[in-house]
Order: sequence, then C-alpha cells, then structure tokens
Amino acid sequence: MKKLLIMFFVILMCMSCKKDNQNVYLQQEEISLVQPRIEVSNTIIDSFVTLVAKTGTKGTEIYYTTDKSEPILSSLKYVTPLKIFEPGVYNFKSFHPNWKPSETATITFYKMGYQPTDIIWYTKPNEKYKGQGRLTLVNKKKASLSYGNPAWVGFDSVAIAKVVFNNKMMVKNIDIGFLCDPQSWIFPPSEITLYLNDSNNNSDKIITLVDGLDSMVPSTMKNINIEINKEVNSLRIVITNLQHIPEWHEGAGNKAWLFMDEWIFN
Amino acid sequence: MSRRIFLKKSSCLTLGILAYPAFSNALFFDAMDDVIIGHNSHKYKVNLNWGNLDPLKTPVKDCHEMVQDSKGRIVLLTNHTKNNVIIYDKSGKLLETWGTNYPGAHGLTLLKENGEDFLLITDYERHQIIKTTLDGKVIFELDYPADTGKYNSKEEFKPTETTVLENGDFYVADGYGNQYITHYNHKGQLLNIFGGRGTEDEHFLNAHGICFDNRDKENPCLLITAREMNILKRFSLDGKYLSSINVPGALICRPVIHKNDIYFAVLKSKEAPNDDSGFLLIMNKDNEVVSCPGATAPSYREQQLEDLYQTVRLFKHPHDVCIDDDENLYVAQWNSGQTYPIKLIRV
Repeated sequence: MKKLLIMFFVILMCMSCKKDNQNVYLQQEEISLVQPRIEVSNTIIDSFVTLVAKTGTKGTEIYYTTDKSEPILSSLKYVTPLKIFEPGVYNFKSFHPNWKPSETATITFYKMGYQPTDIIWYTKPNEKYKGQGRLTLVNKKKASLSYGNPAWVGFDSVAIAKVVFNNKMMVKNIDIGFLCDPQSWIFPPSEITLYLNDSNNNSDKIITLVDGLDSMVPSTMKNINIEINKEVNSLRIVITNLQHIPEWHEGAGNKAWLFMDEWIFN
Repeated sequence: MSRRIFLKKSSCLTLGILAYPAFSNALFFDAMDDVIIGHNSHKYKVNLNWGNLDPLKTPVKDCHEMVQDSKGRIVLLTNHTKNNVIIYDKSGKLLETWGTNYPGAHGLTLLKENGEDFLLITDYERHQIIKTTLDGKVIFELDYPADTGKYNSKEEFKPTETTVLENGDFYVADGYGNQYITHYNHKGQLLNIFGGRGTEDEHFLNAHGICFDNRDKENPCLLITAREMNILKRFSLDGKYLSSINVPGALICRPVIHKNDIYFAVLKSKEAPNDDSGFLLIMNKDNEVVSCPGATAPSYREQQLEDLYQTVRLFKHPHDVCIDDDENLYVAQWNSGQTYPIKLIRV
C-alpha cells in the first residue's frame, strides 16, 4: 500500500511539472486548417463540370453545402470528385479532431451565357495583368483565386469597354466577376455603369454602386449580378476601381486594384 | 502558501525533474496536442513566445533575416529604425540592440575574418551593402555598381542578399532591383556581374537570396533563388548557369545551408486563397525536398516535385530561417503584424 501511495504521488508530481512545461509549445486547437483546395474543370457549365477538393493534412474531412449555408459536421461529406450539372453556390470546409476548422471555401458555378461577338476596349489593363487578350473576360474560363492567374484582367484605373452581340437580343442580367483580395490591395469596384446599346440616354443607363470592404477579409472571388431585362445589341460597360483605399488599410488613400473575370450575359 | 501547493512545487524541484522525461510520453495524453510540423527527418514543435519583447521599447517592423554568431547568439535584422539589429541568446533573452539608419534593412550575412565576426547588411532603401562589426561599427559602405553600365541610377539597385566565400570574396543579389548578381573581392572591388531580369535559365525574376554551397568540396557553386519563379538555380562561382531545381508552389526566400541540408523560408504558397500562406522547406544533400513544416508533405511523381502549399494557418509570411547549433530553427517573418521571430524545436 505504501509503495502504491508513493507511486501515486510521483505521478501527481509529474503532472504538475508537465503543465508548466507544456505551455511553452503551441497547441493544435490554437491553429486553423487552411481551407480546402478546390480544383474545377470550369465554373461555367455547358453540360457538367468536375470538382476536386483537397486538403494536405492527414485525418482531415471535408464537408460541403449547396444552399449557401456554412458546412458543419452533419453536412454532405466530400468523398470523391463531384460532377456538377446545376449552377449554384458550393461551400466547402475542412474539419479535424484536433485542429481548428478551416475557413469556408466558396465556389460559384454559372450557366453558360450569350456569347458576345466582340469587345472593344477604350481603356487598357495594367501591362502586368492584361489577361489573355481582349476577349479574356468573355472566354468562358473563370480565373482561380491567385491574382497571378492569367485569366484575371487587372486595372489600376477605370475600365471601359463595349460589348457587341450579333443580333439584338433579350438580356435579362449580367454577371461581373471580380477578385476581392485586400491583402494584395485588390478591392471590389466602386461603381459600375451600363449604357444599353451604347446610348447616352438616361433611360438606357444603369448605375450600380458596389459595397466596399470595412475590414481585412481573406481572398475571395466575388460576383455582382445586374438586372437589365431589355433588348440590346451592344453594351458599354464602365467599371470604376476604388479611388481611395479606406483608412483601416495599410494602403489608405491610394488607388485600389480592380481584377475582373468573367462577364456573363444571361 | 498552502501545504498542498508547497508540496507540488517542492516536488517539482526534486522528484519531478527525474521522473518527467522517463514517463511523460507514456503517461500523458495531452502531449498529443502539441503542434508538430514537418516531415520525415525534420519535425518540430513550435514556440510562439520565444523572443517576444516590449514593442514600445524594442519594436520590430518586418523581421527580415537572422543568423547565429560565433558566440552562439541569435542576431535579428529588422527594418525598424529604432533598433535595426536585435541580439538574443538562444533562450530568447534580449542581450543588445543597435542600428537606427537602415530603413531598408533586408539581407543579413555573417562572415569571419581572422577569428572575428562581421555582418554584411543589404539595405534596399539606401541602395547599399554595409559591412559592420557585431556591435554595429561600420567597416565599409558599398554603392550600386555604376561602372558595369547595367544601372542608370542608384534607385535601380535594391540588394536583397549577400554570400561570402572562404577567401573573402562576396556576391550580392539584387532581388528587388535589376536582378543582377555582382561579385566582389574582400575589399569590395567589382570582379564580375551576371544574371539580370528575364525568364531564361541565366536570368531571374526576384533573385531574392544567394548562398555559397561548398557541401561538395570538389564542385563548389552558388545557389540563387528566383523567388517569383519558384526555382532554385545553381551557378558556377564565375557566373555560369549550371542547373535548376524546381519547387512548384513555393516562393523560396533565401537558401541557408546547415551541415548537409538546405533550409528555406517560403514567403507564400503560389496559389493560395490567403496571401499569408507561407511555410518552410528543407532539402537534403541531394537537393531533394524532404520536409515542409506548415505545408503539404513533399512527394515526387516521375521525379517531379508535386505542388506544395500551406496546410495550417501557422506562419504568415516567413522570410528567413536560422538554424542553431542545437538543430532548432528561428523563423523571421515579413508583414506578419510586427511579430517577433518564432522558435521551432527539433523533435
């Protein structure tokens, strides 16, 4: 009995010493996983596209939703690559028994829109980020999250272009995709103006103001949908980059970058 | 002090010290929650508290580079002009600070001459390389290599790194400027210039780091990072291109050779959703990647390294790594919210 008691005390002593020692090192529950890596064949759906979600940490499980809600442990579990037939918003999140869950990776799929016959540019993108030629924004290929991806067209000033269709056609709305990456000084545009049929009449002008950012957010691909519901054979599009980066940002007062891809006409 | 607390404390000092190492792993499950990063032969625990100082007294801006001097002290270079150089002991205790006029303090290299330590500092805002003693006395200042005809003005010269040969010759990498590598003798007289901006084998995009590699005594060479291209390039000492080692996805800052391995801080993952997506990378004597603390496990398919990327949100923008004589690492970070270095303990 005496021996047992001594043994018990030794264990107790070790535990108390151990606690002090342990505090030095970072614990897993203090650190988040990186959001899942999403690779897709395309985000503009003709018949279907394929999606692969990856995580580099052993023991991690990926859950996803298709109703814009945050994935939780009871959401759909990602097991094998997905075939996606329907446009919509897909959210993915990594979970692990020890590490903190990741942020949510969001990817939006679009239906193939009308194909314009031409784009005439009145302003030029920055020399370093000029995409893959003048049709980059309507080439049915969406850029990835990295601003270095050649599918992005980057502007440090206003972007003005005219989009021309073959015939006059009913355009319900337009999707304008852009990158939101304030760490790299890339912000949403401040204002988008559409001139229907290249006219200057007020009745054919649609002005949309875009919400800015009020804090540092992780890099995301965003999209703004503008209702048109008119017959058009051309559209002049004027997109103004943010002229003054807000006070909370290290680049306060400077012009922000505007990175776009892609324009879809529905 | 209650009797119970007294008992606990005193027991720690006596029995606990003896008992702890032997039983700790067997008895305590909480040990499993310590973060362990890295792969294969190079795994580490993480100490975020190491070297934390009072930011009002001893502030840092970007922590750019670190070296260990002959006395075993850890020397940190920051671009904060209140104290550009911060010297710690290995436990993280502050020993000394100096330097108030290095606004673009970036590259830090230790060299030894006749048993005495010196530092080579590159300053991309002063467009200079400065040689100092370990207590901050300036030995020489070197301006941009105007005679080469490769530069129109000093502003085009933004040196990021130096490396020193055994004979005292040194090389400067102009990683934020025109991307040339300049070769000088120990007095600072120009001997050669090579490289330059471009995508060909002999050119660089972001020639950010340089290191003298004499692991193979018969064939010494230079290792130079083309950070934006995710490539480590090997050059002969006279500036001829030899070969490239691809590290897809990894923006490698500077090579640091310790024993037979090469260590790198990786500023960020090339295609990551978050910009602060850095990690560390370690190559073995054959220049194969064996461990990536904070990122995916390195794997080769048909001898090609697969894309590497950050997996846990631990490092922000690691910018340099220093390996001490205990095989532990110190990680200096750029644009991390003015944080002090992180220490990694090899396990």
